[in-house]
Amino acid sequence: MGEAMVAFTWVDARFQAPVEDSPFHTWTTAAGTAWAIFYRSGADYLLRFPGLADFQIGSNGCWVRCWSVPDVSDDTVQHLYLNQVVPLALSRQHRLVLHGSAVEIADAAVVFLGQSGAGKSTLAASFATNGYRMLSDDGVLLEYCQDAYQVRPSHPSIRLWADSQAALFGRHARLAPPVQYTDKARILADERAVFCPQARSLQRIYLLGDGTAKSPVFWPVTARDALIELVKHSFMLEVEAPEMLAFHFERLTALANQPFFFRLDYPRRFERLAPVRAAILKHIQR
Amino acid sequence: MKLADKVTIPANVMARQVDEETVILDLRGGAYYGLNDIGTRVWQLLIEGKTPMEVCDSMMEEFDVSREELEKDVLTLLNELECSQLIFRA
Repeated sequence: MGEAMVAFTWVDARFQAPVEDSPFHTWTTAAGTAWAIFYRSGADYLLRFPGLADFQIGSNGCWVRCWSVPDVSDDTVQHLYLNQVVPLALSRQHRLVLHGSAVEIADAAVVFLGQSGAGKSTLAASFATNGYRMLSDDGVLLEYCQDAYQVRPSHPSIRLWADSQAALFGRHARLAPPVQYTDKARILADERAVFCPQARSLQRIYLLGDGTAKSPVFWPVTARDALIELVKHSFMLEVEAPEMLAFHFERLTALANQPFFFRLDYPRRFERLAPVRAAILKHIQR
Repeated sequence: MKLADKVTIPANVMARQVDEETVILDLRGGAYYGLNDIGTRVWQLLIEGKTPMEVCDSMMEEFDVSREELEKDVLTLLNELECSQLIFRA
């Protein structure tokens, strides 16, 4: 997803020396440990994944340099870079990246947003393994061009937990090598999970619910609620510069006022994904 | 929060009119708050740098409400915004 828009250099392996300055932002895991620590490095940024790698991101988001911790695999570094660093770098290029998944349906893009574990990737993969094409997973790059929003295609892979992988692919998934910080598998595109290599016009953004619905249910979302969800699910590296924040906010507000947004909830059962897909297809035609 | 306090709005907190409501959002942390007409006017006056006391002074000329009720409502709102870390005491 947009990785061609960022110049990447793997510099060297080195241990992570303490950083003198205080971080300006931190991502934490559910257990409360630091997952990613954000520092300023002159006009640039240093993004540290403790025990894994440091990434220096240029102030304009156009280049990234990486120092991996010794014994961290190249696949781990690549996975971190694609899933975590590229979206943040793109945000400094004033691009809008949402934390979600997207599929192509009837030549248009349908996006799924939600909390981690809500089922975005599984739902998108269920379309990809049933005659539709994936556009992106984990990061959705949205562009506004000629009075329309477009979803750009991403790196052709999907990240799934073992149970989703087994349910949707059996033993036939084409897997990327495992990485050291997650048990999620990265499934590469092939004839079982086809990727769409072209951008598609945005048609729907579904905000996934918590799985308590007994059957697929849709309900409209106000612009106010859409804006709140977009703030929660958009990547943003620079979280302090007022002009950057104002630009980001204006863009999210413009998107929130579009008629794309619906909430969707459905039971999280693999055997019930077919009727969920059918319900989504019917809803899109309304 | 007291009426004489000075209030600071962090740079990462912004407000926009969405539908018929003003939404205040912390673009960094994700906290949000919806404001009705009176809350929107309080927010506009805070952005101008007014203290809570000055906010009430201005709004007494604009709204048909008792001073006591207005002060109570303004302080309630400001305390909620402070709890959500959308404003701070300077």
